[in-house]
Amino acid sequence: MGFSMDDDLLEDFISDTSERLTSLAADILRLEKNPQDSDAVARIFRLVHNMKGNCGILGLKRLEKLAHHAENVLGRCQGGRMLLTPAAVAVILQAHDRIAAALSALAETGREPPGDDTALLDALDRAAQQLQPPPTDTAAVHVAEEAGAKSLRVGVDTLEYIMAMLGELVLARNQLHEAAPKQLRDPLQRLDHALSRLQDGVMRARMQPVGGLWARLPRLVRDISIDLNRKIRLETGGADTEIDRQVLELVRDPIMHLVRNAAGHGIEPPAARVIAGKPPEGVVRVTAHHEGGQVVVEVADDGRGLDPAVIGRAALEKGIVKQETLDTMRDEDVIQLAFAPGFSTTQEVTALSGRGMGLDVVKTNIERIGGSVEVESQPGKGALFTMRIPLTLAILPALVAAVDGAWYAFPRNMVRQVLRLKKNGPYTIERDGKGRWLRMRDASVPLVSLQEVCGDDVRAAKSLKPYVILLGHETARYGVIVDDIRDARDIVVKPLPKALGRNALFSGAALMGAGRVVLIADPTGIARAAGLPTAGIDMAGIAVSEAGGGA
Amino acid sequence: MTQALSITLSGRALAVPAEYVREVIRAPREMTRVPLAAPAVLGLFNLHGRIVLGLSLSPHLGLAAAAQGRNLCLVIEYKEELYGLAVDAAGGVLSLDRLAEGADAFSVLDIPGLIDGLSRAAPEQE
Repeated sequence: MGFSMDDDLLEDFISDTSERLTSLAADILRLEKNPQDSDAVARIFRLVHNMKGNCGILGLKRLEKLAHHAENVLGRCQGGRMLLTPAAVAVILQAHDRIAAALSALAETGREPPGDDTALLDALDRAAQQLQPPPTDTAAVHVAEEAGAKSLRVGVDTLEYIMAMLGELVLARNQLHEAAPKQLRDPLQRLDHALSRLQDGVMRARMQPVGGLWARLPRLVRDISIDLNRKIRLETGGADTEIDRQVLELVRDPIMHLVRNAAGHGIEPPAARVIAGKPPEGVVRVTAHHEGGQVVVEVADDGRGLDPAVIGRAALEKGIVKQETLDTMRDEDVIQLAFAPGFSTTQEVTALSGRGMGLDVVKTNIERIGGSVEVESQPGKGALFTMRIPLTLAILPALVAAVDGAWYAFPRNMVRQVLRLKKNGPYTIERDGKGRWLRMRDASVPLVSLQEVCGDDVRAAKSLKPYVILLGHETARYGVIVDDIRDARDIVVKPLPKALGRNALFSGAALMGAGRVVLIADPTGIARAAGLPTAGIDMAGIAVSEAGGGA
Repeated sequence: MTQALSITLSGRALAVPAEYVREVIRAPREMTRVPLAAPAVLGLFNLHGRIVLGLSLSPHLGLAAAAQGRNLCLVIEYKEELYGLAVDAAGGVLSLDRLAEGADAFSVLDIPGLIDGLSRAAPEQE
């Protein structure tokens, strides 16, 4: 899509990525010789994952897609869970070549070259399905036998300390990058590699399997089935999926809530199920798996499902949506209204509610940690809630931007794109009774001024704001106007001092290389403070042009 | 014997219990402003890789805000977090026991009241 992108950002991206592609090729060949080289897998995965993120920000749809599909194959091989077959290596090499070619065309023309990658994408997806499990030969068995002696109990404090020190190292590294002379580039790159592997290692040590949480679910479901006279079978999967212990703590309540919802509101009484032609016993299925550097948790039930008509009506009554907007919304979008603040259907205020939060709180809590939650449903057949959760909160890929001399970090997984405003460019800013809008060729999104949300004086037309950062999920996007893009890098997240209370706009702080403290923006909080809908409401006028494949 | 550090602020002498005191530094040149924070919050700054919340004592003490920034910053630790109090000067070590007897004209700064009061005073959100 012919966006003219920001030249500096694009140039940085091209030179950075071309450089890394060279070392990537070497790693791929190393893998061909030894498919069990999990370091090489981790390096390639990280690079492809970063590239995917950057492509998303720069609006390079074709490259993003290629990277996404390649990442899927590699993600399944992380930690030696699966092994790359020679055929898979060949397809990844093909993807590498395709990306390299597109990149050099991009460097020449400043535009992503058009092309049809369907066959290659299919081949990548096939390769992802045809990986080999690691051999359970004598060597592996041997390791398993010794595992007792090879694992240690380490106190959480010790891990936190190592983590904090690692954070210091990352800071010092960033500082070096800011001032490094040319001859230090090679050692710095090695330092980068070593640090990111160290980071992976420490992260892995902080991981806990979600099974500990799964173990609490049978009791929950049993109590609900007795209270409400339901027959419910609970199925769990992916119990060994690991996630950072801090994240696990924060997603526990939202997950429990979704399970409670599924069992209490989703599954019908046995008689009603029989009339509907279903077995009297309902099924609630809770699973987790890793996907593209995130953990995906799914809560599914085969109950009555969400009825778009009922939800639409309730949303109308509560003033969450306008009739004319509702008329234009697709059913899939209407059911997302169940996440809107203040929404709760009449049947939901009956039994078992009052035990915590509504779906809007689930959504807020998940988004606060940089995740997302969506629902799919077919009336009468059931509902599927899908949560995407970051693996860790301690280190956040961020985009750092300057507004009026202050720097702010935006979580990368919420950044859809960065646009540069130019005279006679493809974007225009328009103002109407409801505020400012960024008009793009095929869509328009509301614009937010960070100063206004912060309650600062905004002197009119003081400076030209040349960039817009598009934030949000597929259904709710908005733009923040900034003066400059400073950096895209991993930052070490530190909590805001407790004495500040809970800040509605910022979720934490981080130190930049020169010791500068930057605040980490909370895109959901900013949208709320600006009076924008946070669940895809009243935004149906926006034709969302990108498919936007998650973080 | 309980000790305290004496500080001065707009001509007023105060004592800060030594258990909280970490160090005295020159006032940081720049702080990162925190939008929507209480008036006493000056901003955030970095000290040895930790994030410190800079605070003005003026609202707590009912003083007018300083016309110019204050020279020094007294770094205290409370509930495992660091706070930087803007002060004009920091003096010697006092004995709190003697203060209790009313021997000196210092009033003791109530650190828990100051910090905990701050989060209570933070604007209620949502």
